[in-house]
Amino acid sequence: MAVTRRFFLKASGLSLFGAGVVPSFMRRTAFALPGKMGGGRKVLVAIFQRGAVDGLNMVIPFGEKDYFSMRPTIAIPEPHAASAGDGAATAVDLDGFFGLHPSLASMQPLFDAKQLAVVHAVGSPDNTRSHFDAQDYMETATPGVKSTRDGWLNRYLHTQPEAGATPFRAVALGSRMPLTLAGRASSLVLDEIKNFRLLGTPDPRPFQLPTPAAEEDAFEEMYASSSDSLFSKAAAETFEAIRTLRRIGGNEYQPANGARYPQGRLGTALQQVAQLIKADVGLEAAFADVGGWDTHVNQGGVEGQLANNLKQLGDALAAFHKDLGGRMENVVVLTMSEFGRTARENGNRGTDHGHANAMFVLGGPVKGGRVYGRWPGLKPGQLHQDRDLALTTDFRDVFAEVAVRHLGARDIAQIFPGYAVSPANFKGFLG
Amino acid sequence: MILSNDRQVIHLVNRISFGPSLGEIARVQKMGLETYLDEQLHPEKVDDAATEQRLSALPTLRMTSEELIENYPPPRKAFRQAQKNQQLQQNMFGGAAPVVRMNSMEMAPVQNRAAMRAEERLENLRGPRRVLVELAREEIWRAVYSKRQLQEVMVQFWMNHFNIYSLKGPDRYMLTSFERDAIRPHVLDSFENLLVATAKSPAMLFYLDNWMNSAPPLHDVETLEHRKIPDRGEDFQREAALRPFDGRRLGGFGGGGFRREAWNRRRERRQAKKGKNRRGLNENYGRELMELHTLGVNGGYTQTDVIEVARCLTGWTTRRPRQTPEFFFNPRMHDYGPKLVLGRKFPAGRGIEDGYEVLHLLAHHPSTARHISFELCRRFVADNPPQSVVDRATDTFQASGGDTRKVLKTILTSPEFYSAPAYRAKVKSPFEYVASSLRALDARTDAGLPVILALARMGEPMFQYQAPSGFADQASTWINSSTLLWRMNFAMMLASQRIPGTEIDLSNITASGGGLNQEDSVRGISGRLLGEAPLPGTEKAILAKLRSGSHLENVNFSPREDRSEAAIIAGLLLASTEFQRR
Repeated sequence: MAVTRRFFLKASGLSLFGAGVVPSFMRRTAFALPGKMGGGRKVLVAIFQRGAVDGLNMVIPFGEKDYFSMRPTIAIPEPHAASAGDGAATAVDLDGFFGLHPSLASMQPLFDAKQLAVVHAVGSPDNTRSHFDAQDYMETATPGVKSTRDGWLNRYLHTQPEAGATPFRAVALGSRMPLTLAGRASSLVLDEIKNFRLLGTPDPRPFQLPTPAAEEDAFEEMYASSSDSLFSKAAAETFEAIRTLRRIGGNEYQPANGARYPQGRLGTALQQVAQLIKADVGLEAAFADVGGWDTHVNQGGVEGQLANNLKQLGDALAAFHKDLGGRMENVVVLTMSEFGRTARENGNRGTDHGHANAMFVLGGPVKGGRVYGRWPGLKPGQLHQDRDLALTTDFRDVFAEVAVRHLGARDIAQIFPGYAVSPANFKGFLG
Repeated sequence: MILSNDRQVIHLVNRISFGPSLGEIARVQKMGLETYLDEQLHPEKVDDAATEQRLSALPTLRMTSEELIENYPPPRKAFRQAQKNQQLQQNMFGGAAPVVRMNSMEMAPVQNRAAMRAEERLENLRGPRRVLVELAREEIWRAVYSKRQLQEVMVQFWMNHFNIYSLKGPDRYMLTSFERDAIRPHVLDSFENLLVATAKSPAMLFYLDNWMNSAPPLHDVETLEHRKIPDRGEDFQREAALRPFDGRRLGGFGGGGFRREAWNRRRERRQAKKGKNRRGLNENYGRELMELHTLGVNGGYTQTDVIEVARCLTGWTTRRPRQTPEFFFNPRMHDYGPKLVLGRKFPAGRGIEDGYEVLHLLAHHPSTARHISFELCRRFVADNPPQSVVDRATDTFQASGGDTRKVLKTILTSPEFYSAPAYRAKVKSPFEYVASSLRALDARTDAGLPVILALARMGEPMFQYQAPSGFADQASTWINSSTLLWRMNFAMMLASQRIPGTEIDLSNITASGGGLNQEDSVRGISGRLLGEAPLPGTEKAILAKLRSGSHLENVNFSPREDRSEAAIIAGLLLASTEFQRR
């Protein structure tokens, strides 16, 4: 194996823990930890906005005149708009052409600090307008093919196995295994750190380590002594995970640097991810999803349904970034959605299913402060099927750039079957 | 190596039922394997009145899809209705009406969930959620309590084979009828009957978009003759009025029909220009019909075949799916041209017959025989069944014209079935695991939300598999570090009486009189739950646990919780690898 920086860091031994206790799994697994505090292990956090988020109101092309005439009631006013009254919210200017929805104001400092990039007019070449088909196509990264049963991130994990991987190499936040992480490589499904335990113990009192369930040893011994390797292997991971999470989740978690995660599904999920990253449990890929983006009716403009959901998204991402602090240098967060929405608003002050969309890429390694992708325009001849934002970047190019340039993926052809990935098509948001 | 007689009984009961209920092993031992199999292969001869009685508590089960839509509107619609009523009342009574408060995030009345008992929570479910929960409860109740066990096993098998995602639009209201009217009546008879029933069910027509599948419109054509649609005496105006995309618009009857027709054409032209609602061939169902339902992905069909099959099925649609779902054949949507499917010529000019004939062709195709036989062998023998039994099952399928009952008999009497490698070879799906646990303990359950949620946590959220392929019937689908945690939790919670709405009586599985030493206790309970002694590793772990006495340390449990020795033994046995397999 080539002595890459990553290999060296892993092989050089334990990290500095300061005054903490060394978790027991460390003694059992080799190469389990990064070589220096907060460094070495790359992490990808994939966030799926289920329901087709309206990219055109999330990252507003206010430089495009047609945008305003196409959306008479739900368009976001451009920065310094004369039509917006004093103090009224407008798009947050990013680069003179694009702006953020005002509810995403908390992400503006990240853009200015060049940690946040946008990829616009990106999506799937398949024309399906079915939510669940399109979500499957994006999660398997095989648009148009319904028979793929495993996710792209799972294929990365099993084509690039890690010696001494912990059960936390891949974690799905929530209560179900998402297709993105389904497949041969094992992933942990976790809704909250404090819930991943054998039930039956009293809930831990504040500031005390939770106690193991009375039956834990018995279960563990029963599976360990079984010759049924399917169960004994899975069980070994389960109990290792339970013990590790017990150590992390015992105390009330205090986000660092004054970060405050918003209430709600995404805030909770990102807080769990931050805890796992900081606890150095071997996390490499995390997945979270959040719904509520399917705004056919009363989408709202500066205020309303979409605005509320975007506020949660922005605040959660900003809190995550703040909480991790210096550790963000190894973390990339990528948002995605199955397709975008129509350029024109519909008769119900909302938008219908569209085509291309916008993705956020956030993290230390990101060459932020820019909107990537070729902008196709919103004029009559420039739309897809005369209704949607047209696509100029295949989402697989974005996934592949993250996989190759951040995670160090090598076997790209297996991760993206049927698609010729070429670095020439990378947008360059990772250098 | 052939199994011992005792094991043959355990094996057959495990495979054709949802696990032995109390006393079932003894009953089958007495009647003999052949009689038992014959009994289960003919469910119509088995009296199941008690189960039907239990199900009468769920009113949605007897309703048509239209009635469900009518009686269980989504909460937002109901709220608007309530608001309207409230407004009406305020106007009438001057402001003294009760307020309907809304939680702005959820669009449903705010309730104090913690305060509710299990039954109250079930009673207060509204809208499509109520419909789907009642359907889930029916499936669980039937699996646990029905005497027609093989029938229920086959209902689950076919529901997964013809999987429909309940949350696609109005499908949530159509699944009840799908299970009751399309699947259930045909689980053991001819495959073709089952296939046609699913093809005509509004649930499938909507889910796989065949309700929109039509011959491309001929905008510049004004007459039926030009279109070469034979005059069958169908009601021209009525059919013209009932268009798939106009879910909200009522068709025009009588004299308005003609002008409505011209208006429809202009509208279609406008929309086609915008790329909206492009009326035309939709291959979705045609493809899945061949790939998943009949021939199988390697069954030897081409993309051209997919198109031709889709053409045969044009016009197979439903009336307004969001209001009055009901199958009907729409000749205006049908492609009357000649077709060529898998080498067979279909002459021009035929209507609904094209669909029936293509379904007949697919149902009796050799690849279908192989595909279905393989899936049945996978369900009943092993994840990777020996080719010999698959071949024999295929032969039976073909010779009998697709008679499921006969194919099952071939599989379930084969030497491969009763071989040692097949014994406890299959991992129970979450549904099978939950049902078998409840049966083994003779539990009284309301099959309510805690049970349904447990299934979801174990990886099988009911009616929510999104793709038409359904869950893959193999061990790797079900066992990972997280689902295993929830299996353990379910076993423990069940055994210690901590599942709200479900009760067990451990005296059913412990020997009367007591005074047994711990080994005999374990063997005794294992005999009741597994039908035999546990594996040495399992027994050792349980005994070590009992000897440590640590189960008595945690004194914070409520009086209802059972931490007795029997509960510990039962919980560990239910979680054992032996019980998790069948």
